[in-house]
Amino acid sequence: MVKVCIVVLLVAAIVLIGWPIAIYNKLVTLRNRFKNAYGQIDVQLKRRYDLIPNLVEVAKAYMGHERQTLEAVIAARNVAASANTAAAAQPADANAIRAVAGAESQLTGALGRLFAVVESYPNLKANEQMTQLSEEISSTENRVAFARQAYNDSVLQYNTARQVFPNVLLANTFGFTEAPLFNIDANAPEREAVKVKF
Amino acid sequence: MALPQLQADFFARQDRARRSTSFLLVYFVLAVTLIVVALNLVAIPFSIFFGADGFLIHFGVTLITLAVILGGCMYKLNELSGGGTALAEMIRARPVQANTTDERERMLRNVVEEMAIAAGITPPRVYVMPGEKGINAFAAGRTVNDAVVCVTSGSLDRLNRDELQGIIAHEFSHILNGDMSMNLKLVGMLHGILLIGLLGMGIMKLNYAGDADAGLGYSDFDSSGNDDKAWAVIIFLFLGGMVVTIIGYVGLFFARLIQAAVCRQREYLADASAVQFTRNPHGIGGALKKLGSGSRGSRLNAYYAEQLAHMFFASNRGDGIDWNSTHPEVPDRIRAVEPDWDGKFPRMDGPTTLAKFSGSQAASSYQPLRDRRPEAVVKTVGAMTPGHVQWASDFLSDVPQTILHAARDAFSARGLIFALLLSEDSTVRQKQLDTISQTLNHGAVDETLNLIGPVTDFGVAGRRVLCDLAIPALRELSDPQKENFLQTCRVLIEADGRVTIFEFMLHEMITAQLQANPRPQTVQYVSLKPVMPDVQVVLSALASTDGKSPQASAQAFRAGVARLQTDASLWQLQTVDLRSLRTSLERLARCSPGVKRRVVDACAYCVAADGLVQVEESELLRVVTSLLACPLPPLLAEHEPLRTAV
Repeated sequence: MVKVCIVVLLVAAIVLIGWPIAIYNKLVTLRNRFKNAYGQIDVQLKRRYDLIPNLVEVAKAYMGHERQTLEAVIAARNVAASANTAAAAQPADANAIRAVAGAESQLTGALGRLFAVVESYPNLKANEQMTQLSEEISSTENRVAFARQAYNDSVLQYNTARQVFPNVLLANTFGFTEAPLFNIDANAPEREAVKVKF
Repeated sequence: MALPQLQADFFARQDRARRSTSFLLVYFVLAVTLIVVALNLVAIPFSIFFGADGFLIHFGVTLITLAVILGGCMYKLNELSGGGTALAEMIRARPVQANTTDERERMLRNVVEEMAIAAGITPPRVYVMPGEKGINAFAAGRTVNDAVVCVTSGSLDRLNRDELQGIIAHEFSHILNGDMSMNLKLVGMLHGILLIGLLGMGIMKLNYAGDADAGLGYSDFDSSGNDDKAWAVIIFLFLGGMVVTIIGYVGLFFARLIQAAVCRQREYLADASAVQFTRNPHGIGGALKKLGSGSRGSRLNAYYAEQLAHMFFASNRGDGIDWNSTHPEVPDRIRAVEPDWDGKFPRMDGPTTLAKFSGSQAASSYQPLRDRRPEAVVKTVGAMTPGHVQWASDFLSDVPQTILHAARDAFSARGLIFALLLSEDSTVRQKQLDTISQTLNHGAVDETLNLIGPVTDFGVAGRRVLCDLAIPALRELSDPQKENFLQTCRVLIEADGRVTIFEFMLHEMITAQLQANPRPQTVQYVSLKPVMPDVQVVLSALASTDGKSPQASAQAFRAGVARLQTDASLWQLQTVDLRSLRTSLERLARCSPGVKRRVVDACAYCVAADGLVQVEESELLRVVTSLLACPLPPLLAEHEPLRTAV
């Protein structure tokens, strides 16, 4: 009789010890996966940040008067670049991801305004370097979107695993917080009205 | 001592590895028995103290020990059923991205790519163990198609390209030797034995490597883990600190014994293979010397170092002069590859500068393997030569940068595959491009269009290598993205209403590599009899390639069958569709190495029966060897140029 009790207790003990360990390991693995997936976004964003100064230099030669627009682009680019570096170091930090997403929205907005202004400078539009750079930037934006998609897929996998029944009981105890999705709001509110020059 | 030679062929080595697993089991059972006995001996004073129910205590001790050991083993084996990737994730290694911009990681990926092409396999996944300053590496996986190579960050910092190539060649020899799957099983077994000791080694290591970004370093313990593990402290206080320490040492002793039995001789062999593949003893010699000098040597910090000790390039315990050391002594290993070594270690340098590729010693004197005799094929499987490595290096430097850059980035790698699948017919091509634009987006179409031009220079064999180059980047897609991509490929292939052998080959390669959850391939068939219908399908497919007259097909089929040395009347040439070919190959993939050898041999003779090897035949042969997980290096012959344009 006592032996049966011991066996039952033993099995219970093993389950109580083993199960949390398995859950912990699984959540750690999924978290590391999405953290590694940020690396893809990092590579593409860096590509974008490298292209922008060149673009601004070429544009400056033609549209020197539009200093504000150009400087806005550079400023937004710098903010986004440092937000990205911070997020790449800590992809599990929700605030860092939100910061990059926000900075990227602002940058996209600023670039959009720049390209709108470029429209009124036909010489600049026709410039070979300019067309090449804007094509590369647009291709990079596609790649960023692609990398974001992959990242969000891994985040979703982690968040789901975190919320599923037995895991959800332990996730918070073990310190697994909900991971943020990386979403760029394409229609970022404009900070200032576009100045139209006649 | 003289360098041991890689004697037997690939299949024999795999067979031998499988048999080793059985004798490992014997060691394991012995070890567990002795541990249980040892613990019971320790429990004797307790049982005497508690008087009457002494038997109960012994029973309890035995039961708990067995439960923990077996439970630990089963848990770990289950975790590792995911293959090499599961192991890499378990040790929290960081994957090296295909489009990495870090110079050293780029160099590492290039070396791995080159060696993989030379061996005829898809480049394995590459990982780095961050925060490890020692020089060490390992390879893991269940089959050659599932392999993973991992190096320490110390290796990246301190080794130059030749030395890195030496270490990678050493690891590739493990991949080609069939050691990997046995190694994985051993990790599972050892986990159980070490588990009690691991748990007992304190709360410091109970935290399974914690968080790399906690800022304390990869292998430093996470002090916040203490609160979560409070319950563990209570349990172990109960068991008694002293007892746990003893258990730890007992387990460790047996684990190292088992590892040493498996490991030592194999390491000499792997070092020899590294020299054999690269014909450059100074590569691996240099790496070993740097390992021998310097304060860190090959030591690893992380907790898992003990369980995985048998898998690593070098011992993870400093100057292990123990008789049960897992690896041979470093000076001995250096002398084995460089007999005229003066015994002096170089002064330890800081990180090396990235010198240009210094080139291997005998670059100009390699003998290209012109041998296309059928009997040579079985011997070539899993047997790289320096000629292959040189060829791979030349090929890679010939590929235009547009293609290389595209292949290494997940987004554009898809474009490369699509470009390889585009039809020559302009109507079909337009239909295909529309499909891409609909299911994916216009960006993907642009990537594809960029690559159409450069890709036309490559013949069929070259295109296969380009596909191999693209796969590592494609593996980085998320599961939904992979699904989407595979679906698009299927539609592209079916766009012209027929499936060519090349398309079939490409599709099989990509599907096998990108499958979300590959099933573990356990050996099911150990004799030819149960799979004879499948072999018949495969031989029929090879015999009936386009353009062969019925007599030629019949002759080729008979030539293949003759090699199997069975009753010829049992075999009949049949018509084959690609779906049944795939099913048959999947079944054949689950055969033992001995059976696979006979199948590959018969296929080679079938293909060579008419004295010519057509392009289609060589592609089919490659599909066969690839799905059977038998690495076939590129067949080097003047008649099969990989680039038609200069």
